[in-house]
Amino acid sequence: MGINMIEVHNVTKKYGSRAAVENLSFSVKKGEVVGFLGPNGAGKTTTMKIITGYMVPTAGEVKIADEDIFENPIKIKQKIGYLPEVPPIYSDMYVDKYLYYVAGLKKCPKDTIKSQVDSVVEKVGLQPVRCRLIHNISKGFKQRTGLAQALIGDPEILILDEPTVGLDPNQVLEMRNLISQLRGQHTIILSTHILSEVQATCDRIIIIKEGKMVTQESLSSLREKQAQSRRRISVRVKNVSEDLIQELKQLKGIEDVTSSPNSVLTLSADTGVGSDLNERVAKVVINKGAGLVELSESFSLEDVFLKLTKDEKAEERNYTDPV
Amino acid sequence: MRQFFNQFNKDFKQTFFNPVFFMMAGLCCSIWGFVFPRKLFEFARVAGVSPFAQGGMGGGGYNIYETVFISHLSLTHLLLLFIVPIFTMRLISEEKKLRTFDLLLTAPITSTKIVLGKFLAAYAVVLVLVILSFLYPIITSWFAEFNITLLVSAYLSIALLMGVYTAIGLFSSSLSASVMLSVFLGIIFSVALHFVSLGGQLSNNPLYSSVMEYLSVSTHLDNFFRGNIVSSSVVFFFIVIGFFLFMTQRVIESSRWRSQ
Repeated sequence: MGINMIEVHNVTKKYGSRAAVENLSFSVKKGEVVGFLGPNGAGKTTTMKIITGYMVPTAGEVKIADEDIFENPIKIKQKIGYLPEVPPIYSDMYVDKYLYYVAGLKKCPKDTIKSQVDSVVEKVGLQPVRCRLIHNISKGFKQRTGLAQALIGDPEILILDEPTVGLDPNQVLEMRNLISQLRGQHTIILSTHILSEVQATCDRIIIIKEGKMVTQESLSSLREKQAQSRRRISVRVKNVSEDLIQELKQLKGIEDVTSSPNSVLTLSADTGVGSDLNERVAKVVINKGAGLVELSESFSLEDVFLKLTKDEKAEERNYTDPV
Repeated sequence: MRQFFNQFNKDFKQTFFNPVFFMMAGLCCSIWGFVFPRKLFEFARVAGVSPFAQGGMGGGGYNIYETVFISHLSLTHLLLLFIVPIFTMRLISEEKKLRTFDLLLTAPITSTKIVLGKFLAAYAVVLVLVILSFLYPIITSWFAEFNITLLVSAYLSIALLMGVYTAIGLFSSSLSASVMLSVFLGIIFSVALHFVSLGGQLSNNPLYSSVMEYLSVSTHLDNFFRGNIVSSSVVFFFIVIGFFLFMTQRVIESSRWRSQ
């Protein structure tokens, strides 16, 4: 622990005149799980591709385990497992054969290939589809095959580009568990725009916007910061009435109440109102006979994310992913 | 070396165990099977002998090699001119389209190995078709006598030319993510190769016309067809193959710095 596994220094990547990544610097320590966040088109994929040695940056340097990636690319690429946004799988190959091919591609020693493939298949739970054509397996299994591909060769670093995109909630949960299992064995960079995923798996987050670093902080310090600025309480009731909302608004410390169609009221409050706020809110709801179903106070990364990346221009801009 | 073989193995299997290969092989065999016996019987009729009764060398200056085999070879050439790009079309463009190209570019393998593995895999598949075509004259040799070395020399030139077409096809495949476009480009480049030297004879400059003559594919094919295996002709084919493989390697490398 403590050694920098990945160091990115002032990296800039330009597509024509448009900079996809501008002057980005960060480092990742050995064994860390880092969430890489940003709106679509922020340059996440580009940054990841640069770290994997797929692309050369226009300026700046990337060091993996203290070695410049462009000086000895072949050796360094062996240390990196990369799962792109679209899993790089051949639909006309069998899962097994595909993994053997990848093992050969990644220069695994011949006598360890079989044990490598076996252990990876077990790790990601591909046993049921091992002997099936990739074309015929479900999307969740395809994604796992992609992850298996990244894990072959037991790389020190894993770079996962939106590993849960397009999966159903069960599969998302499974994928997340898988990633949590990998924690400790690999240094992981995970890009996503699903915030709960980051909360569930990462030690630290890096948020970028328009190719520039917005913040990099550990999750706990972000949580603290968030707690200092505002409290957010959500209340689910059986029947919402205008009366109830008015009454809640008059409570001491409550700044705003918004209601959503599925009878969830969201209350934002000052931090300095004391710890009995929840009880007071509950009391009001019960007194009104609104039928309290759920009351929770949550830290929401969404707020942080929205605050840091809100920019109308970014949404309008049409982002095309470089091939 | 193992990485190269791994790549070769995968691409060979993907190209060979593919319905497209069997369709094309079936198509070729049925065309050859239709045309070859007819040519053979026509030769026998004109030469006034039955190929089953006597030797193949008929009278009247008629020669089985020139009338039957050369036309079989040009038919083979014509078919393969269109079929080779179909075999090579998927090699790189599909990797780009399906994003498996990301795997190749982030794997610890040099693009030279990728290109060589892919080229030889496709070339091996193409050679299977060339060998299938070779079977027709070989079977003829059971009941007709002719100079087999001439035939082998001619087939050697076809095999080398197919290497050129395969390299061109691989290059066209690297240019875009569209499989159809890579077929068309492959055919266009292959046909264009035959016209590069056009008009060379018209020039008064002896250097220019001799360079143009060296670049002409037909000059080299003629050598082989006449049974002369000239080293400069062999070198010519290797240079063209090498040139297109080098270009392919450059195109693959360029995706590391190009914007799109």
